Amino acid sequence: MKLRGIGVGSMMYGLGYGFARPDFSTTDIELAPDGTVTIWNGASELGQGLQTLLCQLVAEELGIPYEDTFIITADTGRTPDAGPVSASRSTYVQGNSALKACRDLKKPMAELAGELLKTDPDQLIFKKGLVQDQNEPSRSISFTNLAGGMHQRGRRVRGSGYHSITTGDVDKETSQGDAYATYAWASQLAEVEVDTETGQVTVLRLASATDAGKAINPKMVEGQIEGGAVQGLGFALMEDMKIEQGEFKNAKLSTYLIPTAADVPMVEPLIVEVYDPTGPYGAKGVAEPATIPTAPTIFNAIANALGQRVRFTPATPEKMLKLLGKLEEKEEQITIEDMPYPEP
Amino acid sequence: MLYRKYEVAQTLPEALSLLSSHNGAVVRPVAGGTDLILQLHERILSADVLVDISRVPELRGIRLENGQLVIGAATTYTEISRSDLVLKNAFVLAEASKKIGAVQIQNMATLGGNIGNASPAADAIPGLYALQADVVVCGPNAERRIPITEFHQGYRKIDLNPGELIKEIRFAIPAEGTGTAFYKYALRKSQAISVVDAAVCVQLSDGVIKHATVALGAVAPTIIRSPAAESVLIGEPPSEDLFDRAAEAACQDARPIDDIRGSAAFRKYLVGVCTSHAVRSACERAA
Ligand SMILES: Cc1cc2nc3c(=O)[nH]c(=O)nc-3n(C[C@H](O)[C@H](O)[C@H](O)COP(=O)(O)OP(=O)(O)OC[C@H]3O[C@@H](n4cnc5c(N)ncnc54)[C@H](O)[C@@H]3O)c2cc1C
Repeated sequence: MKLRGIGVGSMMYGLGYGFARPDFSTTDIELAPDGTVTIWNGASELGQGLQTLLCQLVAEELGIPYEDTFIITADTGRTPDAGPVSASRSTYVQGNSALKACRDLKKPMAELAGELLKTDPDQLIFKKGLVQDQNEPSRSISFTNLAGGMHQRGRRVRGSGYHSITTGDVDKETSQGDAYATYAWASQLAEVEVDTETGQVTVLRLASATDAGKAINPKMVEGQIEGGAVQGLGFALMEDMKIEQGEFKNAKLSTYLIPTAADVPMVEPLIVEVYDPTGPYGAKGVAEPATIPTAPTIFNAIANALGQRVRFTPATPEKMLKLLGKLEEKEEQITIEDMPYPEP
Repeated sequence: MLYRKYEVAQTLPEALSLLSSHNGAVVRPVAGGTDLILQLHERILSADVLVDISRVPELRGIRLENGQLVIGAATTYTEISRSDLVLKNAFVLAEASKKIGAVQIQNMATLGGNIGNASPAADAIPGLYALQADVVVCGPNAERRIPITEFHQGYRKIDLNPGELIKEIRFAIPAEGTGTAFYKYALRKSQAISVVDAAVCVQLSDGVIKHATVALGAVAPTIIRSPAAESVLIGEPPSEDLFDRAAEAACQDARPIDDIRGSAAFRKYLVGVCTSHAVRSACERAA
């Protein structure tokens, strides 16, 4: 018999490290005489698009084309410490430090532009390749010419930005307090089919609504949301570490299974944008928020299909058949209800 | 280094002479390499010389010969699953070929490699057991023809002498009214090794099963036939009740073990699932 069910899962996630743990990033940028800009940041590009994102932020802040930015990341000999790429913090922390580096560079640039245009540096804006008086737009100089002028006059052409979101700690006695600099929210909805004969669970479709604050690069956010759902699906149904006497028995991709393209349903990525005043242009991280709700969503859908709850991950066919009473249960499964609460 | 020398044979005599011309060295034939190269990487096997047989014309292709279907050892799964001769006469092999790895593997991997590797979970072999195929082996001097059930002697143990090659697979075209089917149970939808699988041939005559073969994979040191399931089926008209009884009988013949992909009890249960699905499909196709 094939039974279908629908489930919803939601989460709230504290971005960054929180709990008074050090959480900072530094970015350096340098202006070349031809108006191109090089960015140095210690974070690592893992394929998530961090380099693209930092270049986009810098291009936007300086009002120059994306193509005029260059980036060097994760080189201990050359790049300033940006902290790790983890805790969904890169856009939020490293992104903010890149914006601050731009603002640091804009100060000497605005000074020179003010001298050349005979105007108040504070009134200058950087936009569409121009540095322009916002009250008197005819007073403007191209970013490229200004860059050349900076070099000719020996002005400061390097900017540095440091950003920290290190929070206070929670109350030691009560554990109460605001542990994180900001929070993200996400909800997912899935339909599953449980084959009661084979124990196989198939996710038929999945929608994932993830709060990005502001999607700096919507396609990359969609990629994060889709990838997060696939990873969550693996966590829910497949990823099963078999450990005997401390030895990882299935440490190969042929035995430690993750979903293939054939196992992945239509994933509908829904970007939710609730402007975060503490983020770069309102943005915050989407990485973990896009993967955390998937397993609960699938498990709720299984419960909806069977009228029975799965209390373990992953819900492999063998374990599902035990739950369905088709196979004898050998080891005791500890359910959440049986788990002892820690002493208060 | 995985090996010292890689030779590409252009003809069968050349392949045979390359296999026996390296005195004292470990020489292995390689077709798609989808088993062998991994085993060399993981140092399960070693080799000094690899002889690539994938381009040898005598080992390739599918043809009809005196009422027999002949499949060259170096024929790939993509070729098998697209062959009209296979689709018409031995659907079970096309069905199994589509379930092996995924497209990239099917483009590289060969039927002869599956037989030569002799994994108890090999997906193409149960169909060959069900079709009662013979393996044709050729050496420097002579050819031998061995029933596949005898060719696979034990866990990864085959009846092949050094210097010999698997040349082709042969089996009689199944009689009129025969349906065949393969059912694979794995832990994901592609790129997964079978936990259990079953291949079935049934011949229907006047609404009654006249002839039946049931083969099971990944439940014993080699692929096995299930005589118990076969005798349940023969002489009966297909029905859901019959499929259930055949499934139960097949479970008795299976001798599965616990491993990383599942417990013995899980496998035993799946033998029933796979058998009933495969028998049902085969009967539908026979009708
Ligand atoms: C990602 C992946 C997924 C896979 N999925 C499956 C699957 O779903 N089901 C499955 O059954 N297998 C699977 N396999 C295993 C493998 O693809 C098959 O067993 C395939 O049929 C091997 O064929 P080959 O041509 O690549 O063999 P090779 O690796 O070239 O050879 C295998 C062995 O047979 C010997 N040999 C090859 N040809 C001959 C010959 N003509 N005469 C004598 N000896 C010969 C070789 O010396 C070697 O020992 C998978 C492998 C990979 C890497």
